[in-house]
Amino acid sequence: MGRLAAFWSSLKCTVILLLGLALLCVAGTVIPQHAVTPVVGQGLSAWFLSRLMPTDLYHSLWLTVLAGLLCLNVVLCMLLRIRARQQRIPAPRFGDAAEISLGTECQAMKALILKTAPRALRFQERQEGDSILLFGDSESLRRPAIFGLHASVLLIFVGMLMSTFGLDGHIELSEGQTAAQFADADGRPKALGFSVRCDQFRIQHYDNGMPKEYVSRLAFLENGAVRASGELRVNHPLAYQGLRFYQETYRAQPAAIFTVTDGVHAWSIRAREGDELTMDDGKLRFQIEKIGEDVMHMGPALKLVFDHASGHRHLWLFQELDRIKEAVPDLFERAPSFNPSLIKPYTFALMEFAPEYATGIGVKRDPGAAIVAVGGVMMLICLLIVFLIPSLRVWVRLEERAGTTILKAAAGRGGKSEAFPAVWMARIRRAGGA
Amino acid sequence: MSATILGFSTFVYLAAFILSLAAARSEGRNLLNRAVWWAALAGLVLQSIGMGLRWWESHQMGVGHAPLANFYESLVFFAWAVILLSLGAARSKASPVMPFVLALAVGLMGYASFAPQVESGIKPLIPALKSNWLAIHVMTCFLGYAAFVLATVVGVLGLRLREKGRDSAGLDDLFTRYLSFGFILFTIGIMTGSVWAFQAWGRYWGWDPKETWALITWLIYAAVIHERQRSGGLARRAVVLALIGLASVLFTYIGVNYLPGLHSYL
Repeated sequence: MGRLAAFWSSLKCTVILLLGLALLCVAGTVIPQHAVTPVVGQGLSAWFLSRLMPTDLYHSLWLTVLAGLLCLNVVLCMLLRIRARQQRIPAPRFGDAAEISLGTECQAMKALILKTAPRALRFQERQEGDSILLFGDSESLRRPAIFGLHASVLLIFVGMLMSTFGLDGHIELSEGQTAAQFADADGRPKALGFSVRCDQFRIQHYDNGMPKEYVSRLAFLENGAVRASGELRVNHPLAYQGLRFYQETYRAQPAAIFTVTDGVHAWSIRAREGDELTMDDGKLRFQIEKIGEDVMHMGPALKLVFDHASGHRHLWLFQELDRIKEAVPDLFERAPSFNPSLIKPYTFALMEFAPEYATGIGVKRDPGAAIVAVGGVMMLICLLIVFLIPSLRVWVRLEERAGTTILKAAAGRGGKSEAFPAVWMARIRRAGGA
Repeated sequence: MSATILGFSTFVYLAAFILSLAAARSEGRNLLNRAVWWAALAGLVLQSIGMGLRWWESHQMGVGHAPLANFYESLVFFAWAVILLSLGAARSKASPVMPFVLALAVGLMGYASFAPQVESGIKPLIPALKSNWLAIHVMTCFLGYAAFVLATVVGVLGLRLREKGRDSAGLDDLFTRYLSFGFILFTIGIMTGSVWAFQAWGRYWGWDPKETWALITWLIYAAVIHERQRSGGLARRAVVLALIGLASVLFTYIGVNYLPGLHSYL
C-alpha cells in the first residue's frame, strides 16, 4: 500500500479531518454568516469564488471538501478493516503464561478446545511450524458494528446532500384568507397545487401574560372543497399532499370596531389601519391613519383623517373618553380633535380594539430527512454495541513436544490482558488429561 | 421548599468537598474515602428530592414541567449529573476525581443560587419548549457534558500519574468509560434535538450557534476517541484534545448564549 493510501486510511488523517471540520464550524459561528456576498462576476468562476467566501461557510466548498475527504477516509478505513479481518490474527499476548502439558494428541486437543469454547467466540487458525495458533474473538457483533457506525456517517452525509433538494417556503395568512401559493426561500411565489385557508388564529396566554400556545386552524382545499383540516401548533405540524406545515410566526394587524351616527342613521364598522372608507352615499370620506392599543397612555384609540371641504382634518377617537374627560374637564376646548362630534353632523365612538392576526406558516419538504433518520438510528445502535459490549480475545498455542501436547493460553479485552476464562481452562485441562 | 432543600444539598456537597481534600492528603485511608463517597451520595439524594419537589411545585402552580427548562434548572441538573456519574463509577469508595467533581458541583449550585443574573423562579414553558422531547434532549445532553467533564479530569490525572511512572491503568480505563458514555449520551442528545427541531421547525439541522457548537464538541470528542485508539492508551495528545473538548463543552453550554440563536433561553 502506497504512503498516500496509508495516510488517507489512517486514524491520524481521521483526527486531522475531524478537527478541521470543528475549526471550520468555529469560524462559522464567529464570522457573521449569510452576510451580503460581494458580486464577483458571472459564470462558473464566479460561482466557484462565491463558494469560497467565508460569509456562507456552511454551504461553502471548504465544508464540502472537508466532508468529502472525511467520507474518503471512512471508506478507506472500512475497506481496510474488511481486508484486515480476512488476513490478520493479532499478535498473541502470552507474556509469562505457564505451559500446560496435556496427554491428548495436538489435533484432537484442538477439536476439544473448539468444542468447549464459549459460544460467543469466533476462531481463526494459523499453522506456525509444528505448532497451531488458535485465535478467538467475541467481536462477531462489535466488528460489524464498527463498520456500521462509519457507514452511518456516510448515510447521514447522503441524507444531508438530498435535503438540499428539499423545499423551504413560507405563507402568511390572515384569518379567513386563502392561498394557493407560497413564497420559496428566495421569496419567489410557487404554486402549492391546492389551497390552504386560515379559518382562525388564536393566542392562548398563561395567567402571567406569557404566551402559552399559538394555534392556526387550517383547511386544505381542492377545487373549492375542503379535503382536510386541522389545528396547527408549535411542535405539532400538519401534513398534506407530501408537504409539511409548521406554525412559525404570527403578526398582529391593528384593527378596531367603531360606530358612526348622524342622528338618523347609525353604522357599525370594523376597519384595519390604513383602510380608506366612504360612507353616507359618499358624503363622508376618511382614512384610518392609526389604531393603537394604548395611545398617549390613555388606552385604545383611532386616528381618523378626513378629506373635508373645509380642509384636511383629523380626529382622535378614544375608547375611554369619559375617563379622560373626568381627568381633563375642558378637554374639547384644549384639544378639539378629541371631540367625537367634531365632524358635523356625525358622532363617532370607538367600541373595541380588536387586532386581526396573520399567521406565518412554514411549508417544507425534505427528501433527505428519512435517510438522515435511518443513519442516526444506525449510528446509535452501533455506538451502543461498540462501546457497551465488551469484546474478549483469546489466543491458544498447541505444540507437539516429546509425545505430549504443550498448551499456552492468553486472553485480553479492549487492548488489555486479562485472565483466561477459568471455567473454560478447567474444561480444557479435564478433557486433555492434564 | 425545593429551593431550601437544593440549598441544603449545596452545603452537603461543600462538606463532602472539604472531606475529599482531607482524604486526598491522607492517601490510603479507606475510611475517609468512604466518608466522602457517602457524603456525596447524601448530597445527591437531597438534591434529587429538591429537584423532584420543584417538579411537583410546578404542577401545583399549573405550569407543570420537568425542571429542565431554564438556565437555573440546567445548572442544578448539570451538578446532579456530574455527582451521579462520579459516584456511579467509583462504587462506594471515593475516586481521585472527587475533589474536582465536588468543587464543580458546589460552584454550579452556588452560581445557580446566588448569581443575580440567574432567574430561579418556576416559569411556564413558552410554546416552542412545550414538547415531550424537552426532558430527554436536555437530560442526555447534560449527562453527556458531565461525562465529558469527568473524562477530561480523569485523563489529566491519569496522564500525570503516567508521567510520574506510576500505574495509570485504572484511570485509563475510567477515561475510556467516561469518554464512551459521554459520546453515546451526547450523540443521543444531538439526535433528539434534531428530531425535535424537525417537529418544531421542519428542519433537523439549522446551523444555529448552539447546534453548531454541539457539533464542534461532538467532533472534538470523536477526535479524542480516535486519537486514544491510535495511541493505544492514555496519551498526552488525547488528553490535550479532551481539554480542548472541555473548553468546547463550556462554550456550548454558556458561551453560546451570548450569540444570537434559537437556544438563548438555556
